[in-house]
Parts: sequence; C-alpha cells; structure tokens
Amino acid sequence: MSGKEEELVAAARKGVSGAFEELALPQADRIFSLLAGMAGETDAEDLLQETFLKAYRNIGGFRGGSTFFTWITRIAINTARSHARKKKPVGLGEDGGDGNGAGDPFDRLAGDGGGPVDVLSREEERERVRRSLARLEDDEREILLLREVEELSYGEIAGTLDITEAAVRSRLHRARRRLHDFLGGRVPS
Amino acid sequence: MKCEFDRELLDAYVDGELGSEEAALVEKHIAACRECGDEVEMLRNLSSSVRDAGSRKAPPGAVAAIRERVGGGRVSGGGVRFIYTAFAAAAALIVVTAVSMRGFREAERQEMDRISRISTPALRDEPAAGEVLKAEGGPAAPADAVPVVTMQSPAAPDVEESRTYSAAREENVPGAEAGLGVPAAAPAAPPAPSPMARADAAFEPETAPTFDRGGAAISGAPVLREMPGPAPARRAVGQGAEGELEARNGGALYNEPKKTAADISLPKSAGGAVPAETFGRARTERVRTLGGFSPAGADAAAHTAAKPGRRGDIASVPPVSDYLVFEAVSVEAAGELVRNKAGSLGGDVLRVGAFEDFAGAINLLRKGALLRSGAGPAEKAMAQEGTRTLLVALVGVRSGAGTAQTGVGGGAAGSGAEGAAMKAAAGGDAGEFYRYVLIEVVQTTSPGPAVEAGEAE
Repeated sequence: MSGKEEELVAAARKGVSGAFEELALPQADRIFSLLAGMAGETDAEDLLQETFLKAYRNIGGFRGGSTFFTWITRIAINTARSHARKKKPVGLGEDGGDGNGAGDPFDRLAGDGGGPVDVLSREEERERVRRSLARLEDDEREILLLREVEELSYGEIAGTLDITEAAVRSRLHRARRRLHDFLGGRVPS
Repeated sequence: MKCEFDRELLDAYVDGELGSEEAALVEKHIAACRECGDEVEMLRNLSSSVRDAGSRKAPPGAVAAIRERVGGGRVSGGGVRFIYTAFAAAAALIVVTAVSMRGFREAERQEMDRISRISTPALRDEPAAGEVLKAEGGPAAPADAVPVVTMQSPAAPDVEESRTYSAAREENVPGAEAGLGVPAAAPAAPPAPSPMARADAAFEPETAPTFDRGGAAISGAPVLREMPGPAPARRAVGQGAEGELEARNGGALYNEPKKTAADISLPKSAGGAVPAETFGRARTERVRTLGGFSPAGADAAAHTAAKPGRRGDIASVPPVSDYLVFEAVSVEAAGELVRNKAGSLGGDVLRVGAFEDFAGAINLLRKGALLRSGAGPAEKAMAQEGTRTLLVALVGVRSGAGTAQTGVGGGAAGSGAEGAAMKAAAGGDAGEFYRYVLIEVVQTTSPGPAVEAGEAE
C-alpha cells in the first residue's frame, strides 16, 4: 500500500470527509467490470453500490494487510457470490446462444451497406468472447476476470480468493484452456 | 508429437509471474518449440480478448449515487466527526431555511408559474400494466415540459403496443414506411389519452419542428407513427424556455435531490412483462418510442466517452433524438430487426454493440425519462424482472431519407463536441446524417409463443 493510500485509509477510518470517495471511487470501473462479469450487467449497478456501501461501513475494520483495492475486490466478490446464491447468475453477455458465434447478425449487418465493418467485426468478436466466458464455471470466470480485467497478481488473487498461488496458477490454466475450447480455437488476435 | 513442457509455466510466463531464471527457461524453450511458441501467442491474444470483452465503465449514475450516499452521510459508520458534521449541517440548514423560506416560496411560485406556461399535461392518466417507461407528471415533475412521444394508433392509444414482426429475413416489416408492423391488438380498456397524448398522436412528421441547441440538430420528430386526429402544433423541445428547462433538468439527472440511489438505479432493460401472443411465424415485439428527448451534447459526450485505449471500445455515441426498444427472441432475430428498422427509417446502421457500449447514452435517455416521469421503486422492481439486452444499434438517418424530412440538415450537427462525436460515430462526415436513433433490442420475456424464424410454418 502506497503512502498516499495509507493516509487516505487512515483518514477514511477517522471519517474525514471526502477521504473514502477519493480512496474508493477511482476503483469503480474495475469493480463494476468484475461485478458485471460475475453477475451480469443488469444487476451489476446495484451490486456496485452495495459493494461500496459495505466498504464504507466497514472501512474501520480494514487494517491495511492488503491494498485497498484487493480488500474492496474481496467485498465485491462476496457480494456477487451472495447475489448468485439468491438468483441464478446471468453471466457475462450470456444470451443462450450456442457460444460459437456462428450466424450472428453482426456478420450480415457488417456486410450490408458498407458500414464500419471493422467496428462491427470487433463487436462480434467481443460478443463471442463474452458468450464463451459465460459458459465457464463460476470459479473459472471469476479468476479470469481477476487476472485479466482487474489485473491482480497471482499473490493478490490468492489473497482475495483465499487460495494458494499454486492453485491460482492451476485454475487460471484450466480456465484459459476451457475458454479456448469454447471459442473453438479461434482466439481474436 | 505433443510437447510435454509444463503448460502452466507458459501461463505464468505470459502473466509475468515468473522469476528471471524461469522466464529465461521458458524463452529458451519457446524459441525452439513452435508448438509452445504458438501457445504463448494464443495466451497473449486470449488475455487481450478477455480484457477487452470484460472491461466496462461504471455507469455515471451509479458512481454519483455512491458519492451522494457516502458523502451525503446517509450511511452510518463515519464516526463521531461525521455525526458532528451532519448535526452542524442540519442546524445550519434549519437556520438558512427559516431565513430564506419566504423568499424561496416567492421564487418557487414564480418558477411554477413559468413552468405552467410551458409545461404539458401528463401523457396519460394511468400506466398500463407492466409498463416501465411511463410519462406522467404533475406539479412536482416540471420536467413534463419535455414531452415523451409515444406510439399512437386509433386501436391502441397506449404508450406501448404489441406488434408483430415478420419473420421474413430480408424483407422490411409490414407497414415499413411507418417502421412498424401491423398492430397486433388493442390493449384491454386503454386509458383515454391525455391532451398531451393527443397532441403527440397528432404530431405529423412533416410538421415536426426541429431545433438547434448549441449548434446541434435535435429532432423532436417521432420515428414511427400512426396518427389519428388533428395536428396541433407541437412544442419544440430545446427552444426558448423549454430548452432551458430541459437543459436544467437534463443536467440534474444524477443530482436529483429527492431521488435516492435506489430510485435512479435502474437495470439495463426497459422492458417488463409482455403479453404472450402467437402469430404463427411472427415474433412478438414491443415498441416504445421516446422522442423529443435528447441528452445535451456535453452530457452525451461525457457519458459515452471512449474507454481507455486498450479496451478498444466505440469512441462515442452522438446525441440521440430517438430511442427505440424492441423485443426479439434471439440475437439473430434482433439483428434482422435492426436491419429492417434501419431500412424503414431510411437510415444506416452505424454501430452495433452490446449494451455496455452504449450504456452511457441509454442510461442517460432512460433515466432522464424515468426521473422526469417520477418513476420510483415500483417501476424499478418491475424493470428488474425484465429482460436482457440482446444488442444495441446506432442508426444514422440521412437527410432526405425516411419519413421525417424536416430538419436543419447535417450542417448543424457538425459543430462542436457533438459534431465531433457524430463524426466519430459515423466514421466520416457526420454532415450527411439528419439525426441519430438508438435502437435497443431486448430479449422477449413472453414465454412460449414467440418462435424462431423457420421453426414453425
């Protein structure tokens, strides 16, 4: 934890006005990405607020054993998991499709009228990845999001998920191979 | 023969999690082993793809709500200093309120007088069952001065209508000149349209005013319309006092003091339950049109600004004059629908993406409409049962295309930040586009009857 973060944490714990916002809100995009990936975009907005409010209420209990981001990420994961227990998770861009992207309308749209083909093609690929991510097991998707979207190190992931670094490496490897399979071996470059 | 090199090591190498010795070992190996070299390349691409697909931007409304609830002191746990601060603020507020009440009331009276001169009545008296986006108002909702344009027909003068969508793949929807299929059925006992609804219903495209706000062309023209009755003049949103009002309200979307975070935190779909209807190969769809409401250009630019470069997202979404919500049973059907709608509008599909790519623009439109209508927890709860967005498309309607011909043309749309956003979205000269329509297609929530194309004869 950097010196500035330590100061902000200390100030937030004392209830100094604005300290918590300065500490936490810069993380909103990354936390939202994680929540949207785990619970679906529909619910992510509410979960984002729930996560930050939990963090605010419990900042007094944050002892600085990890970075603030790791700490709030853990809260987000617990919030999303709790939500998933109450409601079947939607997943990342899940649409009930077959997952291989074949027959998507984007192909035809992109091919029709000289539109911005590149953009549509990119959208198609992104959607295809999202559908494949949605087909992963929860723990696989979770660890991929923590690594690729949240950009946590293996050590941070281990601390967040309370597993060993060896387990992180193994689970990541499994998740990536499964995702690769779901993508039919066609990984966007 | 498959290489038996430790593949987990390749993952860790790509992730930068190896020490220098191990990293050197991997590098030496992949220099000699094409299979593992390809694997490393694949892993890098996979990481990039997941990052791109998974990175999102938190909705500005949600962040503002957090800021308000945390900073506003509605959450316990801030400590003694917080209590003192809140107490002091409350005491100061009481004093200030007492002192200024007299003057405030006078100002409020004057403001209400002004609003009443430019405001419109409620769109209608009662919401339809299942409706989420409603437009009703009263003295407490002066934003009703911004009319919500709704689909109207003699048979179904309601905000929303169930219509059929032809499953023909390459043909436009029946009645395509209006952009819609044939009305499926009139809702049971539809509420009588209010004066505003009648005014909306009579709003003819050829008489539609267009207006220029800050150099941007914004059209109040509804995209799709079947209209009975006379055609009284429609107020031009964005002009004069109304324009000021809209700008003021639009700017306060996320700072509405009487709204809690729960009130403004809405799910992505505007859809609610949809009555099941069967039309053989037809699909059920529902149409809502919110016309006459457009985010201010600056807001649109701010809320739909490009995400960080590595995510490679759509640059921006220009100010949108119309926001349409349809239902379809699948992504494929949604794609067909978008193509047909764009064709019937005489427009080009400029962008197609997932919800989050347009989340800023949609949230702005949707929340604006909901806040203006005073939607609260009930609507939110209703919407939360709702649907999932299949895709979103941005359609640029060219000047001279489609049914709505009046307009200031593209020239007015090409200046300032809005013009830049339009150009970015259009990927070229934005001047040719007369207006922009955002189409959201959500998954049909009706069980059963809607069928896939070709599934039933």
